[in-house]
Parts: sequence; structure tokens; C-alpha cells
Amino acid sequence: MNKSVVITGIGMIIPGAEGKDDAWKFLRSGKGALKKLTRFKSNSNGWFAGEVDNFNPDEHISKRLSRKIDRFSQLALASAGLAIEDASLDLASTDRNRVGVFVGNCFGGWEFTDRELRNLHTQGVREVSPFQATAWFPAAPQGQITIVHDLHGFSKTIVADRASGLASIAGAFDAIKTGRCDVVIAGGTEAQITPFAYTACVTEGLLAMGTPQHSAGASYRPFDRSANGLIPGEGAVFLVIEEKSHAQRRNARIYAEIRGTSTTNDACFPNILPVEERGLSRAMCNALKDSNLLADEIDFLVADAIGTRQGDLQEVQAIQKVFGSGNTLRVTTPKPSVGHLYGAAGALDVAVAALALHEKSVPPISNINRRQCDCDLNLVEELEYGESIEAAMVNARGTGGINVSMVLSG
Amino acid sequence: MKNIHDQVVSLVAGIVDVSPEEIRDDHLLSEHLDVDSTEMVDIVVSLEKTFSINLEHGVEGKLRSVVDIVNLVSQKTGKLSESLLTTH
Repeated sequence: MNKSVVITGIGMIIPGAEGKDDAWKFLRSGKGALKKLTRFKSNSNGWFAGEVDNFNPDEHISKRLSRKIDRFSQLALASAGLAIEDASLDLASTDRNRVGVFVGNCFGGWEFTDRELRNLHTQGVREVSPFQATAWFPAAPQGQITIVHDLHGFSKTIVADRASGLASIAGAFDAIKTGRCDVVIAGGTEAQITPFAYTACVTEGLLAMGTPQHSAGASYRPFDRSANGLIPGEGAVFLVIEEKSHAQRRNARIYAEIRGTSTTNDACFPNILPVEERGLSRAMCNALKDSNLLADEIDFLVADAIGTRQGDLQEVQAIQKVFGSGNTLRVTTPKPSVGHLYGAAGALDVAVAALALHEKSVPPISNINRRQCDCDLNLVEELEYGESIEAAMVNARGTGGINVSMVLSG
Repeated sequence: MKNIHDQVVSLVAGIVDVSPEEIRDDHLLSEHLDVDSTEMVDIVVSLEKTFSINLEHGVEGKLRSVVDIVNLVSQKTGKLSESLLTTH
């Protein structure tokens, strides 16, 4: 028999805020943290980013470990630690063989690698750090979290482009639902504001470049008729996901229950999007079916909100196919506030959905101008309260046609 | 100028992030100082740079203690260290 799966801990390190409480306060305010990037000297005034300022890894991990790992692992370790703390999860009294770690990531550790490749080319091979070997690869954060917390349960790293974070949570959901784990520390991490990784984002052609008409904060405008791309953000978001009776036995606070999930693939690589919308609506329908909920029981959607005209229109079509045209489904996204966190984005979206269900309030889309949106969606402009907010859907897509959808309830 | 022993102790202390006073000559790198395989490579590379010596491939597998390192560096540089004399 399938187990019930709940979220009992949330750790967030995102542009504009560190820690669940500050991050939730920030996202509820509708404020934005996007700005001209400062983590490296760029060639363009139009390169914007969401950056995690004032992050001090020494507050979370030992200096000895910190110097051996990339920023994306530092952020992941810190965020995972915050989630465990938030869940009041005493690992010493938990069967560590049944605690897993799932991590979503797109790029790997490019801050470390940028520096070491520069050393290789300017000073020679002997100047490359020995830790390069273990610092760069996308599974490094998973390894570090399992080592630091001595966890031995079923674990995975998911690399599924911008859907990695949501696919990671979906993997954790499956691991608990099918009885492989009691607890999974699951989320995503990304630190792509480096010369090489950011340039790779630019080259892909998805980025909103700054224009004289738009400040950094107003440049990422999903569902706007003048939308011209996304702005990358760095950060890490991890959740403690737990089998429901396990959580109840230790009297854990339950933010939300994950009810169902689905992954589909439009198989359109190397294109960013399929020619026409198909797979996203199928993932949304399958997730509803998996959750035993009906479309009209969903109160809000945390949208993929890619911020390109074609991408947004395809998501609007998917929403209308699943929820009907003229539906009143609230649609929100934290992305214009903090940037697209790529491999961590889906984990942030699930955290937002879980907190919104727990607090009975849906945060607004930062900088939204509904008059500029020609789609028939109920976009959330201001914080919306409601006792009837009981179920949510989260969407994520990746280049090449991957679609992930998840349903949660309060 | 520091002798080889003190330089080795400082180097190892820096890598494992403890003060040099906490390092003993008979400390085993793995058991007492939790040195892992990548840190062992870091130690070898740092020794090569600090003492301008070349160490053969795979030498890290033969170094078990702090004094093993002091002896190796002394041998490679052709200089005896105080530690070598006092611990053997």
C-alpha cells in the first residue's frame, strides 16, 4: 500500500533572504531582488541576476570543508541544514539507513571550475586544485549532505535542466511513497552566476537582457505581452519530506502533503520548447489523477513562468486545457522576485506552495502588470488570504521538452 | 626561518584547519586528523610547491603519519630535520 508523504521542514537561501521565515516574509511582500549582476565583471550593462548576498558559509559549515567545495554545495549544505533544523528532526534518533537525499541541479560547480580552469590555462596543471575533481560535478552536494549528516538511505541527483528541482522532489515523493525511505532531504541548488555558466545561459537564448525601458526588477515579466525572457538567480532550497505516520509519531509540524506527481517528455531537444503544447497539460492531468483530486479542487498554481512569449503561451494553453477557459485558478510564481533558480527553482516553488497552504495565503507575482498581460489568467497581484486555500499545483519545464507537475494539499 | 619539521606541521595544520600546536609527530593522518584521499593529494601538491621537490606518483599511499612526511621531505631535500633525529 502506498504511503502518504508530507513536508515537515523548509530551508531556503535565495536572493533577498536567508532562512524560511525571512524568505517567506520577502516573497509575501512582492519585493524583488533582481539587479545588475555583481558576482563577476560582465561585458554588458544588461546582464541581470538574482544573487545571494551576504552568504557566509562559515556560519553553516566548517572552514576545512568549505574551501574544498563549490558555492553550489555550500549553499546546498547550508539550506539542507536549515531544513533539518526547521523540521526539528533529530537524526540521532532516526534510522539513518532510511533517510535519503535527493538533489536537483543543472550546472554543477562552476565558481570553483571557472577559477581552476583559469589557473590551468594561465599557470599550468600543477596549479589546479586537487579538490576540482570532487567539487564540480552535479552529484557533489548530494555526497556532501550524506557525508556531513551521515545518511545512508536511497539517494539521487537529478539533472533535468530547469525542471531538476521539481523532479528531485518528485523522486523523493516516490522513494517515500513506495517505502524505500522514511525521510528524504530533498531540494535543489544552483550557483550559476559565474562567467562561464552565466554566458551559457545567455547563449541558450532564454535570458531577458536589460533595456533602457526596463530596470532589472521589471525585466522578467512572465505572461506579459512584451515578455522577452528570464533572469537567472542563484540559491538553494531544501525540504524535509517524510512519511506521514513517521512525522506524526514525532509530533512534527506538517506544512503540506504531496499528493501526486507526473513527468512527461515532449522530446524536442535541442529546442527549448515543443512546436505546440502537449506534454505539460498531460503532466498536469496525470498529476491530478495521481493525487485523486479534481481540477476544480486546485486553488492555485505555482507556474513554470518561463517568461518567453512562446513558453508562456504554451503554459496558458496547458492551464486552459486542464482547468478550462475562463477558470478562476490563482496563478503565481516567485521567479520575477528572485530570478529563475534553474536547478533549485522547482524546490523553491514547492516550498512556496507548502507555505501558502500552511499559511492560507498566496504570495503575489513581483512587478506584475496585468494590463500588459493578454492571457486569460487570474494572476496574483497582491497577497491573497483565504481559508479555502487547500490544494496547489506546481509546474516545471526544461529545455528539450521535459515537464514535471506536482499536486499538494494542506 | 622554520625548519622542515615546523614547516610540515604548519602545512598539515593549514589543510586540516587546526593550530600547529595541536599536531603531534605521531599523529596518524587518517585516524587522528581525518585526512581523506583528496586532502592527501593536497598535502602532496603543497609539499612539492613549498619545498620545490618532486614526489613520485602514488606517494600519498605511503604516508601514514606526520613524521612520515617530515622524513620524506628531509630525504628529498637532503636535509635532516630535528624531528627525524628525535623520533627515530
